Amino acid sequence: MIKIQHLHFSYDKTPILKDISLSLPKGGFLGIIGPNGSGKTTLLKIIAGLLKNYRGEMTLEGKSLSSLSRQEIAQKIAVVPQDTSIPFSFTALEIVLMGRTPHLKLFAFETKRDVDIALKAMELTEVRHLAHRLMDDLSGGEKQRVIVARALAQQAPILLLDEPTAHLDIKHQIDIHNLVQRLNRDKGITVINVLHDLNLASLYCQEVLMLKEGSIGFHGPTKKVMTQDNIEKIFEAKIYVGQNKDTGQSYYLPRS
Amino acid sequence: MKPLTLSKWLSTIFLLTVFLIAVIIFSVWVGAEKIDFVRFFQMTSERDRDILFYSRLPRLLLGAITGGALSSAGAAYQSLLRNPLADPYTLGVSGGAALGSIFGMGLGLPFTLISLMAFMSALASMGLIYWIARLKGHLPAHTLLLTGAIFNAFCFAIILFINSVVTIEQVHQIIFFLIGSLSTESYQKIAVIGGFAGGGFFILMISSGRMNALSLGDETALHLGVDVGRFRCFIFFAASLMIGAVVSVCGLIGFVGLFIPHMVRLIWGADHRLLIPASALMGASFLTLSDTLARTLLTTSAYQTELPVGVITALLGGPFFVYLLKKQQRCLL
Amino acid sequence: MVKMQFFKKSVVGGLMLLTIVAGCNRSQPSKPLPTHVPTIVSLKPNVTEILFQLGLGDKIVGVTKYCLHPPEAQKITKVADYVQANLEKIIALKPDLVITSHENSTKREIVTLEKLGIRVLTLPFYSLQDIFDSTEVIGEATGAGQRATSLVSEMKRDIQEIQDKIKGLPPPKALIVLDHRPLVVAGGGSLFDELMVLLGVENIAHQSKIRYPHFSTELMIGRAPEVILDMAMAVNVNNVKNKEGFLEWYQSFSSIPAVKNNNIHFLDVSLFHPSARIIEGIREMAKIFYPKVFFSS
Repeated sequence: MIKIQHLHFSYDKTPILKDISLSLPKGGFLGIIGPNGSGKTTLLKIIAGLLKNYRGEMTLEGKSLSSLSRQEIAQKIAVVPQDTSIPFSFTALEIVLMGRTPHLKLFAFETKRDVDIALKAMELTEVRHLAHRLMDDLSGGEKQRVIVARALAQQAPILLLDEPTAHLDIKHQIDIHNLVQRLNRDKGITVINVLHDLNLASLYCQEVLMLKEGSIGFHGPTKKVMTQDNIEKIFEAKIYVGQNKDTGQSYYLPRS
Repeated sequence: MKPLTLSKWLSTIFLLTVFLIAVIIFSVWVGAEKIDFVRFFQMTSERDRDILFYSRLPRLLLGAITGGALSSAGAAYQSLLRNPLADPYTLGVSGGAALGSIFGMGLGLPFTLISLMAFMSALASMGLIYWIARLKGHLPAHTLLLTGAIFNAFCFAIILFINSVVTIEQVHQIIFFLIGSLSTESYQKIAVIGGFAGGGFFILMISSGRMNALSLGDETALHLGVDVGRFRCFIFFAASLMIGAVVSVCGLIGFVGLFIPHMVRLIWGADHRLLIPASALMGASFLTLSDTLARTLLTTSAYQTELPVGVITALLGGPFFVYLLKKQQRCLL
Repeated sequence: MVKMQFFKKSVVGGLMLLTIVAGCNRSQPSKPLPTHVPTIVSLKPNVTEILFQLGLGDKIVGVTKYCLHPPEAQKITKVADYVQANLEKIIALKPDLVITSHENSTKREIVTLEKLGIRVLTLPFYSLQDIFDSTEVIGEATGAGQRATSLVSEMKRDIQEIQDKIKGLPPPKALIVLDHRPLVVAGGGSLFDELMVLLGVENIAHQSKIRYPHFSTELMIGRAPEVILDMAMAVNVNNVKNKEGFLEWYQSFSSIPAVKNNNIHFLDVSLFHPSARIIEGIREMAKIFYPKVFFSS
């Protein structure tokens, strides 16, 4: 689905990403982790088509990313950014409906079908009841769930997330990640998720890419790659890896 | 508030258009000189004909076009700059357009060229202000306002400099120009700026669909498939065309582009597909009514003088601007 | 000894008192200056004209950019434009007297000059009576008192002559236009209005209490003046293009009698500078308002 070959990216002569190559099939679920400044968000932006002056090749479903128009990219890729501020008084439903923009003509109105898709997306992220409330009046967590709903309303086969649950309480963190996982398993949506939280990465991602200073540190299936050694090398911090006796799932804690 | 549908759009636009027509008809009959309906329709009075068609109607049309242009351009700037305090006047774009017009007048150019000079200066001003105020892809409100204020001050300084080197006749022209008035202009001029403003408005209308996404920020808009760079150019171009056109005829009329879009948002929501045309219609009505007030308020008194419409809009808009600023400050806290 | 002390003190005290009293009366001289005629700086075009009319042209050392009449005035050093004076230049010329008018004068500049010991005369020129009075004051301050008095009498005589010619004639309805966009006219209380009243002309803007109101064009149409005197400053009477442009503008208001009958006249507004030259202006006005009377003469 997504293929990246020998990607190099610099910003003002400072190299940010060095020789990144990876290939993600349809239905894959990739987590990107790494220390601050390792280039995670930059990589995500490049995949989303936001940054253009990179060296190397990037293809989406076989087509080169640079050959696609903005609208075409948006029909294939939906992004949930870290946080957004909205200066105008839009309602939650209006914001989610904007997710339909890639599918609308220049001056068109949303059809009933569009509205249904938006409402369904809001149900999935449990914000349906807030549809006609102004975004200004919602809590940080509610706002974030509306943004996730907007990305879902885009109905794109690829979903990119940049720390989508950073401001949410634990219940909603679990809910959103479970939702994304369901979409990945049942609907075959390809997911790339940038995460700080090692536990979430380990719990939900099938494969993990560990970046350090712009280069690939380690890449592969989660269980194989997220070892204590590797993590300590990448993050230069001491950690403790435990195992959940019931599920066999690893968990990661700081070690003083 | 439910999201925008075609029927809501049509009914609102229809309502506002009817209102505007009513305002124009009302304003045509209101004035210092009494017009007799019956006598007018019998078309026997030359005096009535002159008053209605050569004194009042041109002003009304000019007011409607100017009010519509300033309001919709204001709404467009607000979406693009993601800031409800943006307006051609506060941003300094009107000041730049005024400077361009004055250059044109000083050079003695024919009117259409003066209008074009105003348009180009508006565009250049917008570009310059945008470039100065931009910080890592964001345009924080205080920086934008500050840049606009300084830019306005700069333009005025140059205008005053020009004032000191031109002949005394031109000095008077320049000062009256700056005040902002809709004094009787010829139908030709009105047609010219109507054309420019209409063209700009058309571009805004087509882009209005994408303005919603644009108002969420460059990155989000890109993610939603909007070619931000291209639309930003279109919108700045169109808004500058409209502002250049109206400023070159009417001088500086402030706050309309601030006041009207805010009111429209309060009543009908922030969806730009409705905001742009509704602002234009409401702005047209508002300025026409303000001008009717300006030309009748003191005319029937012992002073028998007209007020420039810029005075009325400033008196109404100034306090409103302060209110908006305070509201924003509270939100930030 | 004590008597001498007391005498000295009272003389000194008396002199001090006299100086203070004399100093308080700075702007209006209580007595004419001694026989030598002072060098003068004029800060207003009409003041320059008056000085020349009093035969004091060669005593003027500084004028403004706009002092164009008489032509000799243009050769004198420029020390000011219409509103702002170049104080350094004025001080460098070391004039004995600076004369300006109340209108459009900067108090601060006047005070600064006075502080430096330069005498400043600020005079009103709002009405005909002001012109007469101020001319006499200038005459007194410059030792040309007699010439001033006879000039004023001449002016009064000329005005009377004109008034006699038009006595008993029906008053025409008129409007004096000073700018087009916005339409600025001469209202009640302006010097122009006074002249119109003098000539028995009905000024359709007379009711306005403001000297130069922004008139609504519909008022101009509604009150239907028979004569329009256009003195817009942008009108250079010799500039055909400007005149044509303005005449075209009037054509939109074709219901106005003045427009229909081609009774729109252009005059140079500087003819009406508040000096003796205004008599010429009044004469031109009379010719325009009462063409039948003046064409024969």
